[in-house]
Amino acid sequence: MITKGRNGKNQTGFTLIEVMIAAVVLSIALLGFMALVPTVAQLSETAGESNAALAASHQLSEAIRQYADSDFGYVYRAYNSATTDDPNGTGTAPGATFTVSGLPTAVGTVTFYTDENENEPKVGLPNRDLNNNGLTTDADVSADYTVLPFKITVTWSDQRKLQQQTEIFSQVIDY
Amino acid sequence: MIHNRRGMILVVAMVAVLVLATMTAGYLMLTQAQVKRTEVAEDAVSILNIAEAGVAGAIQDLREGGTGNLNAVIFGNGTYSTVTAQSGDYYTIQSSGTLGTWSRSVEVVIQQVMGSASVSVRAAIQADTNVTTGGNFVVDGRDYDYTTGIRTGDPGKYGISSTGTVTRQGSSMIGGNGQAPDQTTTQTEQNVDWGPDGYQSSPDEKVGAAEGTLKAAAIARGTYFTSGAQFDAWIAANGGGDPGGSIVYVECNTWISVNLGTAIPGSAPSILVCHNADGNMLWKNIHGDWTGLIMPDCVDHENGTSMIYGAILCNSGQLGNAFGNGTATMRFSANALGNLPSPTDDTFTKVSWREVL
Repeated sequence: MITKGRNGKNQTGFTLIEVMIAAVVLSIALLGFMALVPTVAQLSETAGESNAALAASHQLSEAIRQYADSDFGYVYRAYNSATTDDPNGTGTAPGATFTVSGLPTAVGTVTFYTDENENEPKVGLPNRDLNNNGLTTDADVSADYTVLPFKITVTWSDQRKLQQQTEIFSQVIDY
Repeated sequence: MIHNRRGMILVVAMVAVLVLATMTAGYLMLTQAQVKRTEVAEDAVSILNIAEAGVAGAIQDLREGGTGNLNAVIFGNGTYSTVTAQSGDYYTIQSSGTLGTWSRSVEVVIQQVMGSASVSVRAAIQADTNVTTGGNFVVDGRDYDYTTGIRTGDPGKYGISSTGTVTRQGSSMIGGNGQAPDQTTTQTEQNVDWGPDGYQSSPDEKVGAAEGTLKAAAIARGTYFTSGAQFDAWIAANGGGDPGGSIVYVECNTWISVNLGTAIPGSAPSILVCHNADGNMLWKNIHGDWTGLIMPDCVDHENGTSMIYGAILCNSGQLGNAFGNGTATMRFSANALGNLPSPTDDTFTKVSWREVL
């Protein structure tokens, strides 16, 4: 804006109103964008955590598969929650829980399905013959399973204290 | 020169806002891409595990007599489908895990290793109680090739081995250990002491399997029967004879007028169990042919025109065992006993694994 000064010369510059309007516009925009930043950062953080959880889950599923290839009958005993039935003595097996590197709050869990009556359509239950005895109603095949479905779950709290979870399903068979 | 610069600061502010918006949008897009990558990675892991589950599913199907070809089986959060090709003892299983529109496939080659029952016998007929032969019954412990019906030249085993006595009556004949059947009991073994472990009391023990294995195997194969009538229907459905390679388990108290059907040439040896929980199932008046191993609790007259190759291992039936009154013949056959079906699953060996890209 051009105004005449007291000395009669033209003076260039912005009026207070202009500056204030511009400041308000900029502030609104900045506030809006800054409000997005934590959310986006959180998304990014959660994505990274999910990657770590998945990597750990996959690593474990591969370990179970390798174990099954050599000692199929011991898979359940090695990766269940009981320690007294560990194949090489009490407390010597990996067990049903695991930690995730870089994700200290995470708890990983292996769940085996050994009850043919259990309702879990994601592994074909109920009414599935897991011990190849011609029956599909055995309540516990942990001692004589011939195919062993399992689920690996990782749960953790993110920075906003929201519960996050990944899960994968698979199964191993006695070759 | 005087320029009208009214509103310029707003223009500058808007440009600044635009720059900020662009930077933020870029940041947002990068994060979105990262989230998307994570979702893809999560799906990739899930799908691979579903595909691996499909391999297990295909092998289970093969074990249950299926083809190993499975279509869109729901598993986890997706499905798997398998295609199995057989070449001799080798199976190539391609399993595809699918989640939404995305699939991953693995290919596994496995080699089938056929199982076999392991049985050790002392005689063509072995019993844990007294044995009587009568009529024109002939038991021959010399070794026969069941495929030809001709003696192999191997002297074979005793005709009869019993923890009790053996009584030969009528025109019945007993041979074994290289000696042709005659009307003596020289080729029998009597009052046999089985040592501290005693006589093998159950059919499973006789073939070295865990208790319940034979019954479970028969159930799984659809050849577990609770009456002679069910067995008769099975024989009739198979062309009048044992199709071979069978594990048949009949569990009842009494099975009278047994008809094993007619031998089907070229069929493999089978296992027949006639046993109840008390170990005293009566197997009475037996006719027909069988190749392989028969394990009855107690026999009351194998007669008619029966021809059996292999061995009969009687249980500790309280009633004793009587063979004969007809023209039945019992011949020991080592190759019949050596080719029995396995009561446990055939095993597989993983030969190779690869992801199909």
